[in-house]
Amino acid sequence: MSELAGWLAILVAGLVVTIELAAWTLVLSIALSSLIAMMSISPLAPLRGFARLYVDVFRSIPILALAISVYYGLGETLTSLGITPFGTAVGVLTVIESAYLAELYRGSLESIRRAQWDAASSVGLGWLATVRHVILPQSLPPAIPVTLNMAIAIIKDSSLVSLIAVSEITLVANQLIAETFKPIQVYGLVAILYLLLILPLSQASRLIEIAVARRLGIRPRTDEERAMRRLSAVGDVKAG
Amino acid sequence: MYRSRLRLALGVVLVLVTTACGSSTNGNTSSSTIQGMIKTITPGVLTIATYGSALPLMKVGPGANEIGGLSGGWANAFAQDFGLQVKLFQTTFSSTLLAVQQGKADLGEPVYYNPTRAKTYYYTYPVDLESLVVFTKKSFSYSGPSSLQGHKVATVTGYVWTPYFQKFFGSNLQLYTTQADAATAFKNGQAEAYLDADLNYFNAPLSLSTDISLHPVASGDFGIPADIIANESYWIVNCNEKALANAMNLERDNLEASGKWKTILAQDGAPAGTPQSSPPLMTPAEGC
Repeated sequence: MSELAGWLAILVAGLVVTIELAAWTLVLSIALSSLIAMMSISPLAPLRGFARLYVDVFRSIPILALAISVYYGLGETLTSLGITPFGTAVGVLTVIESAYLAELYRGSLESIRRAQWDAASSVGLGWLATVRHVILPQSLPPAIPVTLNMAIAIIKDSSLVSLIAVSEITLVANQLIAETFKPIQVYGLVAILYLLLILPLSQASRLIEIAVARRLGIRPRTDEERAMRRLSAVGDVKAG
Repeated sequence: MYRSRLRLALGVVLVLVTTACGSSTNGNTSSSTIQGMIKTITPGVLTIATYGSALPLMKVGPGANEIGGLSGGWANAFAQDFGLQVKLFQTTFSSTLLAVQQGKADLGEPVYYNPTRAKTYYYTYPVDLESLVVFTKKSFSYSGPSSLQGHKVATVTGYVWTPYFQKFFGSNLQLYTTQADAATAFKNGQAEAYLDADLNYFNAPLSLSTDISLHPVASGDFGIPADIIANESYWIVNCNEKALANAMNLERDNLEASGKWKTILAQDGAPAGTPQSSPPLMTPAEGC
């Protein structure tokens, strides 16, 4: 029992680093991906082109390859700038995860019907004002669950940066396994700790979606309504 | 003709030694190979888990299944005499230990001894003797372990010393999965010191770099007991495969007696001036 408690103490310390890493990455990814998503629906072609390029490039690069090439390839530069392995990991995870999140946000923004843009334009609102007062309030609720889904993906992806000396839970677990030779037990505990972290996040995602929708005066659809909507969409396509 | 006689002789002696040691060869994942005397995971193949090159101890490559250095020369001679084909399972240090424990590899690239590991692995004769040293840049003023406090220090996960370093350095310890990664980070200046065996000085990426200093570690430094500061490296096998380790030892005796070990020493591939040591051919206190 004391052995298990010792393992837990070590793994929880690693989990704290994982949470810090994921939290920083998520906050920065939300900011960066929002910017990229706004660029992608901008009326200015160069901004749209840049957003497209960013998404295409960073969705194509594996996290591991980028982390290793940045950390070891730019080692002296990072050191001279005072950037730690943790900072490098946050930076690498942010640029990659932002590419995915930006696409999800773009989808959310583009799901608002064209008529809304036209209506805003007819009352004299410019592009920025339309986005701020008309589009964002409607696209925010559907963006929240996808953001929390990304948070879960970030937590799991963060294990990859164990290769650049960030003492997150996977690296700590590997050291523990090298001392105890009990991989099943150690990784079993790691899986339980991940579950304890991620399951509440999934639940929170649903609760926040409902709360935000209520605040905006939108009633979230029930599962039944969602199913009916899907069926009617299929019917529309067939009828068309 | 000579080779087949040698195989037969080794086989007979192996049976006697194995019987004398009272060891069992539980072949739960193994298949018979030469004369049913030794068993490997894949018949006719000697699978070796490696965690990278560390001359003169081990050279991995250049081919996918080529090894050299002292331990490589030993294993190649063994494989040749027993008609086995060498196949490498290239991985990280800690995964090398697991690969042997879980029966994914017959042999694990030589590692140090400690009593905990001895409960999981059966050790061969030693290959060489290595000492823990502290690598710093020449510009760093090293005056003992305390001078490293508050500085970033790199080492490799899974080493026998690592738990001591974790206690001593806390969050300033950077753990890497391979020696090459740890040494690269140190060379880049991402860590101000690198803690590893002395032989790493002769290997890439440090490669005899003139701006690096090596500082010996004394008993009690970093809280490390004297008996694990200088370590012999041993091939490891699964506890269920003692016969394989015993056959390796017989091969090593034969290499010594025939003078072939001198050839392996001469062809270790290490840079000129690399110190070599051939510790006495004795197995450590086995714990299997």
